[in-house]
Amino acid sequence: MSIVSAVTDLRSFEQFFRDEYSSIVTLCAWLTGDRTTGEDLAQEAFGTVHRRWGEVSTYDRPGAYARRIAINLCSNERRRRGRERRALLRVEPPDTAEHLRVAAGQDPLWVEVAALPVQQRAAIGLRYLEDRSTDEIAAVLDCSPATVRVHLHRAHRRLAERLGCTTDDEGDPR
Amino acid sequence: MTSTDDTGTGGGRIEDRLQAAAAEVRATSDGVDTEAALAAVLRQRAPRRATPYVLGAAAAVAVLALTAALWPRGGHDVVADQSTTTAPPTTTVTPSTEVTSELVAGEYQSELAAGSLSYAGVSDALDDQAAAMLGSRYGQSLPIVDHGFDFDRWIVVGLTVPVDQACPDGPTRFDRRGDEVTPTFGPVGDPSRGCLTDTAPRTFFVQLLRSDLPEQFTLVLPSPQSGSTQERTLRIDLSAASATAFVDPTKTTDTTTTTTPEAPSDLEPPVAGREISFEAIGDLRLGQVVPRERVSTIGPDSECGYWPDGEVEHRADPPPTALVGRANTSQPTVSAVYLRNNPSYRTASGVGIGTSLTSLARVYGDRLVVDQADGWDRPTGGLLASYQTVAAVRDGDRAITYSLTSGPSRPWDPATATVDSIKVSAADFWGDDEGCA
Repeated sequence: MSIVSAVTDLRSFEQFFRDEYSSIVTLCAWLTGDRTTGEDLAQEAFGTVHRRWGEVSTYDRPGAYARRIAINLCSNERRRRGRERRALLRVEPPDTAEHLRVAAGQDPLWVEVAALPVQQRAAIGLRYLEDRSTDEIAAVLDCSPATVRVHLHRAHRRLAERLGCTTDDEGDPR
Repeated sequence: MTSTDDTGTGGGRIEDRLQAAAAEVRATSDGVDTEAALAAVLRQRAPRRATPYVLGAAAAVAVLALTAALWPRGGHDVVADQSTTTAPPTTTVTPSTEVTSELVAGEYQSELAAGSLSYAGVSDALDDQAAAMLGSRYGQSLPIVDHGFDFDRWIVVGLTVPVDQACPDGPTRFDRRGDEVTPTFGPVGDPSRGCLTDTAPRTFFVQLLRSDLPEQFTLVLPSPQSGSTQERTLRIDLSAASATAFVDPTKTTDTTTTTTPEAPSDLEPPVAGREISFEAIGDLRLGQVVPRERVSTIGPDSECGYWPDGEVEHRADPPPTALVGRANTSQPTVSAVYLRNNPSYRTASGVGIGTSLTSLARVYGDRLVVDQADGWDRPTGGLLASYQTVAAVRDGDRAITYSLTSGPSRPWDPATATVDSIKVSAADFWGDDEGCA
């Protein structure tokens, strides 16, 4: 790669980063429930994008690619915390009272969102955090728009049932 | 956050609640220091990867000296003086001898996509099949080696150790004292290439030379490593040969040797109490309420948890385990059932751990969906296969997911792929997904 193209390449990544970083931090905070973790995972996602920028910069939607990486990292983080908790509990018995007290203070909406399948959680996040269209969500999740509508419908239905709400989302498009 | 809808039924529209929640999240994300984050990303180095590493003699001496200064010695104290005089008793420490070792692989746990483990752990493999299980035990088929193991001469041990913020240490030497073998930890690799600080422990796989080991011994992680005694020690019996020793078809030159089982032999009829269905594995069923006191939650504020707490997959006859929802309530409910390392559980068609992909396809036909693992940075839609290649089948709103492996030292090959773990769940959660709703 020539010096000129390398410099151009770097500048375009920097601009891409400035355009997308804040949104992806928000998305990761939504998916993990924690802003600090969200920032860490967003940085890690952009680190991957940076290493592959020569290829990613040629994509039609590099932002969708970056979001896909971030969503998967958030899913990994969930698995990591699960194993960590199990491991710690082998050393320290669980404080059941503490858990129930903490749970009692939680917004029930967050509790239910956290329990959704990762793709439903991601679809909901992309819709409400970033106002993404069905087609745009499909590009991020690398699935069909019909699948996105299914994810959204099922998420709305499940959350509404659990929280005693209504939903405007009618019928399963499949 | 609630609002009434036009029908006045109360509870509000979920869409309104989600909009409000999203606004809250966006507000907390204000003030993100984008420039500082950009600078950090541009400074990042590629992660280091351990390479096969044989410790030189001089370095071994240096590490040993450092270890002697930092860590207590284990070993056996022998009271030599049995007299009744007032002379102080003389104790003799069993001399130690070095065990020839070779670091085969070491990975940041995050790179294994196996989750971050805060505990120490030791494991072993005495044959190829056990080596394959060793990798999958850490969340995915670990590419432990490209060259394969010579189990006639070596055994493989896995060490998982928690880390601090310094450059990661790894096992650089193993010493035998009596029937205990203990590793020494020191810098591994080239520190000048920079360190990635993280809080994830690392797993190291090391070959130990059989001729330097006693027939039966205990592998012991040094006491500074955290974890219970049970986690830090492992009794290894080299005289116990695997009953299902795996024959590597790439090594044998005997053309009369059967190296690949015929398809029907990897299907076994289920036994009572060990059936796998779209609703259950053994006695553990979807929707079942489990005892709260044995649930370990993903986090104190998490809806999801695991039952039973602690990992049971390393037992000789490991039972199925569950991912539970409503983990912080008085009625945790099974959301998914998992099975690992136990081929005695079978579906009505005979499918279980060890069943080949070929047989899966024969049993399920067009209903079977296979998705190759894309790795953690190349996800795919539909069936979620982030960590491992999976094959799954749906039945209404239920699904069975079979995680597949071709072995740690072989590239993915559908012809040799077999089932190494099984999940029963709602169809929404098929594949790798660990939602617990």
